[in-house]
Amino acid sequence: MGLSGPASYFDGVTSRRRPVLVALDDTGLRLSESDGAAPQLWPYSLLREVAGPPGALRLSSQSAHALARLDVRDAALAAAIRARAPSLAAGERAERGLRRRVALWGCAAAVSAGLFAVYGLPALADRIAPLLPWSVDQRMGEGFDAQIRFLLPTGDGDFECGAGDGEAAGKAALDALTTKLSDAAALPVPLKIVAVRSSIPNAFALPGGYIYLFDGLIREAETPDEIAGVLAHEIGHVAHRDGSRRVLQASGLSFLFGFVLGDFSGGAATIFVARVLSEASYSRAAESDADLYAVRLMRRIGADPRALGTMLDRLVAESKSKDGADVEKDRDGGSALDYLSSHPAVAERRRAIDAAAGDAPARPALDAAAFAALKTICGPETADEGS
Amino acid sequence: MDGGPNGGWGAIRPRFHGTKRAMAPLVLKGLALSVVTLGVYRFWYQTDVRRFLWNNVEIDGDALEYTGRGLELFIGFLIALGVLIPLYGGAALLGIAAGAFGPLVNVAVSLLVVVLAQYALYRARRYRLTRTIWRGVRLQQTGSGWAYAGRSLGWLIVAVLTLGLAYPWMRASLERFKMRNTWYGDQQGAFDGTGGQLFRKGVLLWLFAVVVGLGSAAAFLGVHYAASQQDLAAGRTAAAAGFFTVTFYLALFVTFPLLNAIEFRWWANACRIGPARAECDLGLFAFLKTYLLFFGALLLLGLALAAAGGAVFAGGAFAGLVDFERAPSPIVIVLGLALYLGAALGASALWQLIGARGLWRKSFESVAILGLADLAAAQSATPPANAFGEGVADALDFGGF
Repeated sequence: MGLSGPASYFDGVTSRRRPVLVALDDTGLRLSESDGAAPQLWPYSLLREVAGPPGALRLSSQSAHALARLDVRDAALAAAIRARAPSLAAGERAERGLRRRVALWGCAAAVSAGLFAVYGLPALADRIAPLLPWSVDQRMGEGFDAQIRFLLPTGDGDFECGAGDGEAAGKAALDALTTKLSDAAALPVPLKIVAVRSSIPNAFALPGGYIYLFDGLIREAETPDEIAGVLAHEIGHVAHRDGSRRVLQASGLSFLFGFVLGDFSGGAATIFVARVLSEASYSRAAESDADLYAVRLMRRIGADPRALGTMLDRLVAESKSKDGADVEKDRDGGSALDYLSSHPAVAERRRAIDAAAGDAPARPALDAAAFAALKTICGPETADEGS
Repeated sequence: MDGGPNGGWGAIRPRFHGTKRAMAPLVLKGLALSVVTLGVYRFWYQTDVRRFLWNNVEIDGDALEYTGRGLELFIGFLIALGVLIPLYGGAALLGIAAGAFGPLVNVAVSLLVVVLAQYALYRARRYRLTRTIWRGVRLQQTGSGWAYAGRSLGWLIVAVLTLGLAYPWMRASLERFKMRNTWYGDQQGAFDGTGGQLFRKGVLLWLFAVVVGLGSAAAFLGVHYAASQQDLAAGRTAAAAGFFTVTFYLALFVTFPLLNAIEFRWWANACRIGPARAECDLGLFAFLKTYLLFFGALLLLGLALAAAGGAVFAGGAFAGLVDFERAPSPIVIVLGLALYLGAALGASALWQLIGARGLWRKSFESVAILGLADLAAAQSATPPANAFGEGVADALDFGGF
């Protein structure tokens, strides 16, 4: 029999603490109270360890009330009980096993969610975007348009060029070009092409036909077809509904990682990585598709499709020569002509454009006078001071 | 002061034995596993943290016990998703279908989320109470979560309309509801604090915050006006506005923990369970000190990470791996992410070890419990609650400890 010692006993029925003497019998713990009541027996096989205060062993027994507790603070006694009741260690082992399974399955879920984000979501977005009614694209574009007008830093004057002094002629030229492209493209939504008062050489499209042509890019252009080519490329994004696809993908991602998996430390970083990866996986294809669309559209209006490639080359050369040229990153839902990150292989794109363009004769999309007017849509040349 | 075991005729002061050193392993392991499992492990991590906090609280010689399990929280979260996903999905569809009335739908959905959040907080409290055992007797919470949510929505509207002046009465009313529905076994809780008391204690600090807030807002508007006028003195005004804004944030940073301390003291002094009641002598600056310690540690962590990052990038640039004029290479992105992750995890760990643990310790150790010897409770027959509320609270991102 041997060892015995003091412990605190709670019967799980009242909050009274009862000092007991615990004796280690052959089959279990014998708890005797000082008031002489009949001792209880807690069989070793039914003992469970529950989370107790540090340095103490807190026991429950399946033979007693579920909330009955025995606190053993005597270290020697606690060690002796552990030695005789292997079920205590078994309970702990089971808990550790559960934890390990949770960690492993959690990692597996993380890998699977990651793969779904990189491969599954883009594929899903590709299937769903064409099924959406165009009115959805338009409503999304409307919302983003308001945000962009509010957020995008621009030069002095209105966000949109064409209403200021001496800008009307440029606006007329842009509208003429828009009509020409729009008639040839024959999209189910009207195109809204806007010249943006910003010296950044950029252009991008939003879902539903919203296209933004930055003054910085207009000033870089040497022929009207270069501008028309860039616009045709953006119209390609609208026609292929790349913006809606990105929105679908982004909301799928934030749903997957932000909501289902919950917010935790580093969650934002995970979303960022997943987003970069999943965009990189398909944006190259989207760009070359838009290039091919642009080639066909330029052919249809009789202009030179190769001008787009020329323009791409010039912009890349420009951004390399300018130290740390600050090219505006794309916004949510917009597919930007961002020549630094998502347009990596410009030489390859140019080859593809040239190959598709063929050798048919071409006539400029705008005459010389209209092109000169378009170049000053955001005011005269001297206004270009901030680079 | 301290009564001996079971002999507490006088005031009994709870003690907290959990050291940073003892807590650090479980926090670091839990955070690391939460990251690699994309958050799935967090329910078990949270359970470990709670178990640590509960088990280290000793009241009259006996430690609290937390009997909650990670699996319960996980299941509660899954059930909550089952409710919330259709809700959000329906709201999104309704918002698109409503067209011009979309904003109205959004407002309605936001109100619904506020009500749901309050409901969830109440239910989550019930989960935590029913998983708390002291001397073999469980705590319990009764009362309808929807009744609580309705009451809190009404008070929130009143509080917003009165610019926060009604806040003390809101707190008093809600705490009365909560404490009356709190049970230790068969012993009912009560709350006899009033809004007037809290108002008198906090109104000066509230006024201070409002004055500084309005001042900095005025300064901000002023600098905008000056800038639009191309004023010569614009530079000076900008400096003044900057000064005001900094002052405002500093004032907010200082007043928030002070108000918290005032509120906690008021709350603890008004709580009763059966014949037992509390006397709280929490110092006005007690919580502020904890926050200052936390932010000091955060600052050190930030400096260390910045130094490490700077060294790595400088080394990389020197070795030609990092070229700042080109697009960021994968190496740079990975390094940046590692730094970010280090910062996020470090901050989270510091918060648990210094912030949450410190506030918990001070909350218990500042209280002396009177009449504990007369508190003889019998086990309540009501079964423990499920973790649905915890799940909703977690999904809506405002889980507590």
